[in-house]
Amino acid sequence: MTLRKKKIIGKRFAAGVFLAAVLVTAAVSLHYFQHKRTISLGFFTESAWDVPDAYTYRLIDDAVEKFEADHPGVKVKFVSGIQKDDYSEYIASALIKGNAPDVFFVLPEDFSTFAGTDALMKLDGYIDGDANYDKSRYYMASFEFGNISGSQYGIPFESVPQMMFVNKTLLKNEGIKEIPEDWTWEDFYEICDRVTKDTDGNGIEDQFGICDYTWEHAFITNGVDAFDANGASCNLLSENAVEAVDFIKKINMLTKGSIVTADDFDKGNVAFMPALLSDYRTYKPYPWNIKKYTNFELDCITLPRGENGDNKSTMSTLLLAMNSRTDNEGLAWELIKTFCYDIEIQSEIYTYKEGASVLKTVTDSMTTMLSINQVLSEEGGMDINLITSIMDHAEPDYNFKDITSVREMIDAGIDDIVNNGTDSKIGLQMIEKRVRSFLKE
Amino acid sequence: MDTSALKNFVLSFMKSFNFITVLYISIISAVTIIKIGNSGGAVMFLKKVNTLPPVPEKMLLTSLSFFVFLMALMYMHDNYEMKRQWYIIVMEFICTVSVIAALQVNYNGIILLFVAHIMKSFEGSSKKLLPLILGSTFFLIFDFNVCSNIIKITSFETYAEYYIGTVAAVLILIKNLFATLNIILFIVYTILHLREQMDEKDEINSLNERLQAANRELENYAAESEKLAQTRERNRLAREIHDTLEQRDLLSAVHKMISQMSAASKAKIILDNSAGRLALGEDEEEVIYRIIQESITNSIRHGKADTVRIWMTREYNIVTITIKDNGVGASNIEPGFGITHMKERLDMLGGKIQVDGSDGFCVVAEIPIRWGTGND
Repeated sequence: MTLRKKKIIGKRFAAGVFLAAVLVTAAVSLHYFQHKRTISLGFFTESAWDVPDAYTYRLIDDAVEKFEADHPGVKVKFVSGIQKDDYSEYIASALIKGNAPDVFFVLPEDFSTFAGTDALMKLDGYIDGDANYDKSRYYMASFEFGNISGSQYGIPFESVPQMMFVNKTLLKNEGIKEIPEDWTWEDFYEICDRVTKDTDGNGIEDQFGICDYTWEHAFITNGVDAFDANGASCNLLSENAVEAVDFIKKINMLTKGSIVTADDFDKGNVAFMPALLSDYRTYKPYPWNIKKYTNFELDCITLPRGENGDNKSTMSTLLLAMNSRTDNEGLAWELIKTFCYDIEIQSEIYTYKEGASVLKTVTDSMTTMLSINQVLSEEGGMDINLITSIMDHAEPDYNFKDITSVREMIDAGIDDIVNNGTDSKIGLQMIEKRVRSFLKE
Repeated sequence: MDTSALKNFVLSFMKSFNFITVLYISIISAVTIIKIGNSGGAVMFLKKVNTLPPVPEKMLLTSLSFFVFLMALMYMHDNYEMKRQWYIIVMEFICTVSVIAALQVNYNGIILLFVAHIMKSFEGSSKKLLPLILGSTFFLIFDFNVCSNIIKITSFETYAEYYIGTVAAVLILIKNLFATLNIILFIVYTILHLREQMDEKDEINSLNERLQAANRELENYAAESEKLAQTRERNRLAREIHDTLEQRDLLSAVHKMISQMSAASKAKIILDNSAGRLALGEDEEEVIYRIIQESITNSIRHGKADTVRIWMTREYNIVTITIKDNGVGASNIEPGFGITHMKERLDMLGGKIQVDGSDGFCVVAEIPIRWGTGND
């Protein structure tokens, strides 16, 4: 063996290493401290609910102003002008490249994707640890939507429950009076049956009871819970589900093969159509163009309930989430609270946005009621209590990752059953098998 | 080139090779992540994976800096004397794991580099198999397929799939080629290492054998020389006695002895020979001479006698020698009196001896003499 030249590591070397470590620490902490002074926010212009929206910036500006006033020296930084259609990709791209904002809005359709890749911070620690925060002040369905597998990844900002649009004019013409809030499938079928007719006598039916009524409306109102919370399993083979499909078949039979669309409702030829609260609030003179030509009065009510269900509906929610890679956790949480927990800012949803505030107090409060009544009651339309009651009873929309694909599969399967008159039970069995094997992958 | 030099060359080659591999994987991953981010397929990509890819710049920076740090530690390890070698080995291990973590376990060959490097430190130690065992364990643990079950990581293949067809295949192929080549290098290194160890062992063994042989030779030599000395002494004594008897016949030798002894002890010693001149064999003469000598000595020393009489008679082939003194004798004939010795000598010739110490010493020895050597 050859002898190697070796030296004893000296104190000088150790000192050098130590100095280098100190310098690096100093540089990192300086950068960190400066970084702490700004917090970035990701949002999109326009409404989350595909309705025109003119005031997004008003609410954002007010919230930012309020936050900056509460946190002197902190600046909220944001990129403006991102369209809703580009927003998902914009956030996803920023997440992948590692430069996503500290806090950002999450569209319902992106939530499971983002949470599933650990891009969103788990907020349970903040929720439980913040003495000034009480999650029970939210509508359960709004808050639950931000929860995946027991962890809260998003805080609700704005919710839109599903409701039933009613062509009041049409019903009045058919001699149908007020529909009770707890109406049933039977009532629903009866009315549809009564209004479906050929009004111009050309032998083809041109007035219908319902359009766009899907299995999801039937399921939720008949107590069918098709998926578990994680979307890991699918259960379509209940008595209630079979009943629901039977009902869809039955109500579809009324149109005798005619395809009824939202367009027909817009023209005033359809009595009912499920729609979102945001649609109602935006189009209160239901679509302006329609209003111009057809004079029908729009109202909205709860969805009719099946024999084993409730007048319930699902609720979609726009969430605010924290970037899991943020190094401004404390400020990020405060900013989320400004948007989602501040009564003033939440009240502005009724002024500048189309959905509903996720805070019970806000939606319930007299001031909100007044402001809504002011806006809504022009047409003598909806009762604020209806929104409260629908939201109270709403179920959160499914938020698992594959829900979009699974929906399409079930849509196709139910269409098949309805169009080919397959036995509901056998049809559902087939769909369930397909969905289960898809979910297993 | 000898084994040791070749081994060091392979290790240096492994280092450069690992650097290229780490560089390749981190650059391709980082560039692809940025491309995916800008491609308009970001949402699609996130739906496919179960975790965000690492921040590209950060991944590049951490993997390369930890690699450079590891190289620096290895250099220090090789060139400086460490008081506590364990510390630096642990630090090297942390760096190794950090590089692997930064690359999201898409390359674990660097563990082999780490093991190859620390093998040197365990040379000659009783734990010299430790690095190999630990190394292979960690190599198996830090495997993408193993780790992806425990932690959320994104494979290099997922990034590569972003490119169309052939490009993806080539990118994956290159990466796998790098990983395989690194394993081959490690195997070559291990073989060289073992060979070096065996060479050393062989050398030690052969040296040992030679040493033992020399030792044995030396022992033999010592034994031989001792025997030689004994033989030489015996020969000397024999020659001396022989000389004594050779020079004259037995009787004159006895006479000379008697006169010498009586002069020395002042005792009166009388020899009465009625056996005449005897032609005896050398051994017989020797025995008679010794018996007479021994008996006189006993009589004078132990019996305190002042007169000793010696009769020598012969009847046919039996020569009888009687030695009698007027001393005190001895109630017990003690072994120190040389009786045993005389008995032995006589036995050899088939003779007998009787000793009596009751009235002074009286020794009677009968010696049969061989025919043909009797009278001249």
